[in-house]
Amino acid sequence: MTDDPFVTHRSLLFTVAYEMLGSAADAEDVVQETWLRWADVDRAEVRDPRAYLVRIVTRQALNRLRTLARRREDYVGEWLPEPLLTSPDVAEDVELAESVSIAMLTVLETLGPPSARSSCCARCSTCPTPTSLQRSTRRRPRPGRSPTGPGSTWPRGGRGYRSIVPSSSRWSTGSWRRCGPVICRCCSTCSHPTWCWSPTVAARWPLPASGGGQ
Amino acid sequence: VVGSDRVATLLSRFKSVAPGAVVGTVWLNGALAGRIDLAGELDTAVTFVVEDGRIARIYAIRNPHKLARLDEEATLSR
Repeated sequence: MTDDPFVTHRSLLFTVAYEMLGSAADAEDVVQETWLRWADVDRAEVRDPRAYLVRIVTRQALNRLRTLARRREDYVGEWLPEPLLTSPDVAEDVELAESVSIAMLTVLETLGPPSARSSCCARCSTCPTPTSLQRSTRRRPRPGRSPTGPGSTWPRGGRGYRSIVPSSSRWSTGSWRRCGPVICRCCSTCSHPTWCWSPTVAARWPLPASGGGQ
Repeated sequence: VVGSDRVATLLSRFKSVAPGAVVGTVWLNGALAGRIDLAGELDTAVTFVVEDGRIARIYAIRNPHKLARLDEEATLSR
């Protein structure tokens, strides 16, 4: 059964789940749940197994995040992800290393609703067209409103994400700031729409009136 | 603990705080990190956030539940 797409893409699925959850144990559970779903699917109906699997794992991880979010609200001190032992090769893949870095996972945890966060991670980790990220709207505080005030979707904690995310990374050079909830906007531009997160997230984070909605 | 002086002072006392600790390096989450073993068992994973070539933050993870899987390498891909 080595040609089963699930087996082929297992490490990708684990990576996506881990990026979203910051926990290897939870990520492993989610991958197992994904397999259960996958086992029930009529394979003949699936055009792109990789995209399909990523979508299942994203949804499962999102479900898990909602449960975890409640638990982490009561977490004493700053929540840190579960570290992963990786091979030195991972460090050579700069994007991958960055997306699973402790700094990134910690920052994602400080982002508001899990749905926003997950859409962000799922997007960045799987989208084959990162340029569409660049086209999405910059996430700016509205004039006259504190970016960390009530109702804000900015990372909590005041000290902000800048100091946590390495300044050399592409995240702090601009794309990260465009990569908040409004990330959904680029779903419409993505050439692989099946990889994009659900429209319900987009509905929850309405697109700003101005800005490119290509 | 904030500030390079204070962190350095704290770290300089590390030997007296934890006399039996064995400090080593390990690859965690795609970056070089430290591991501190106490009495032959992994006690703390130490990760660094490097900014402009300097350490901006040090995260120490000691939760045993979060360290339980560190003996096996995870395969990541995209």
